[in-house]
Amino acid sequence: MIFNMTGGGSGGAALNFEVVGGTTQPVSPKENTIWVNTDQEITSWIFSATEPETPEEGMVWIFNGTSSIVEFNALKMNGIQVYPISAKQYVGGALVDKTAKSYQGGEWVEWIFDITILSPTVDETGGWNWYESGSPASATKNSDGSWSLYRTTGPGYLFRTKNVWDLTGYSILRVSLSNAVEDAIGVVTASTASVSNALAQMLVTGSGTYDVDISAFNGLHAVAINKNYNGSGHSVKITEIKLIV
Amino acid sequence: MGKIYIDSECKCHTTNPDGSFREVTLSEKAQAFFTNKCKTFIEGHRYCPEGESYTREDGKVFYGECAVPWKPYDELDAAQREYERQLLKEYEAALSKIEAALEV
Repeated sequence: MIFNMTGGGSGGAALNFEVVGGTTQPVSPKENTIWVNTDQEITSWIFSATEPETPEEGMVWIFNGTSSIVEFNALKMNGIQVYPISAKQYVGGALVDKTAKSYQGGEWVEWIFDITILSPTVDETGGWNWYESGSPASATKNSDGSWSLYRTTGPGYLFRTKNVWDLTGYSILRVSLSNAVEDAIGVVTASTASVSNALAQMLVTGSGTYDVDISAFNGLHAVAINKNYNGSGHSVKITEIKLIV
Repeated sequence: MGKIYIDSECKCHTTNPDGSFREVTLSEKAQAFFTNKCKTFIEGHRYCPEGESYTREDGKVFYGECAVPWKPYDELDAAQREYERQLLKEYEAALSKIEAALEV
């Protein structure tokens, strides 16, 4: 559920939380207290999936997504679930990024600005895998947690992750890989098991960490790697995939 | 399509009325990306050639070669689907005329 909700200062009688500022972490906070690390007075706040059109000086805009590690029920009575992802404050005529934390379950929880969806340390149980057609393409998980995507004949082949992620609020797809040869990284729609074209793509060759601009996407999408065929059997090794705000 | 116009932010344009855009040759993969796409879809994307970069409005720099939307993708997708629906109507109308002419 996406909606706009506004409030002034630190809270309201019907609300199940408060928004506080300051550069020092609050002492003895209530459950769901949101601390925005800022030295500017917070004059008001808004939960919204879109940038406020006419912000006032000091307003904090809390980007409300469709999932969050600090989601909570915003009201004391009826439930309105909110999904904070990031915070910005209107200062000097511009929205400025601010870090934020939520007090939940007796501890401060940092708002994650990125999601690591593949790394050697991430537990991929739960169906994380690549769609593969078998011969002449294969996806193999290596002992170090990386994935090798292999293509034995032409033309190129689009691998997509079986899992999908809500890209709302994320602006960068970051992929670390090695041994690429004019392969493409990007995103595809989540609605089909096999697609012929990525919705956004970047061509890469060699090894490194590459960023794709995914700021125009909302909703569920899969990560895609279009494995090029360069005349002989060849694999690209994927070591990390992240979604970054 | 083998070529496209891009501006200083790598945003795509299908025409160059005042000559202020740069004409670039699309790579084979980029051609596949943009072929059979309507004007709205194309002009809602950026194309950054290999070896170049663009700076997004928030200051983040991205490097080519890449083809990515800069307008909300949902809008571009809706425009492309409508374009394809109109094409289909035209094809069906043309087919009907042919059938009528052949009296089949």
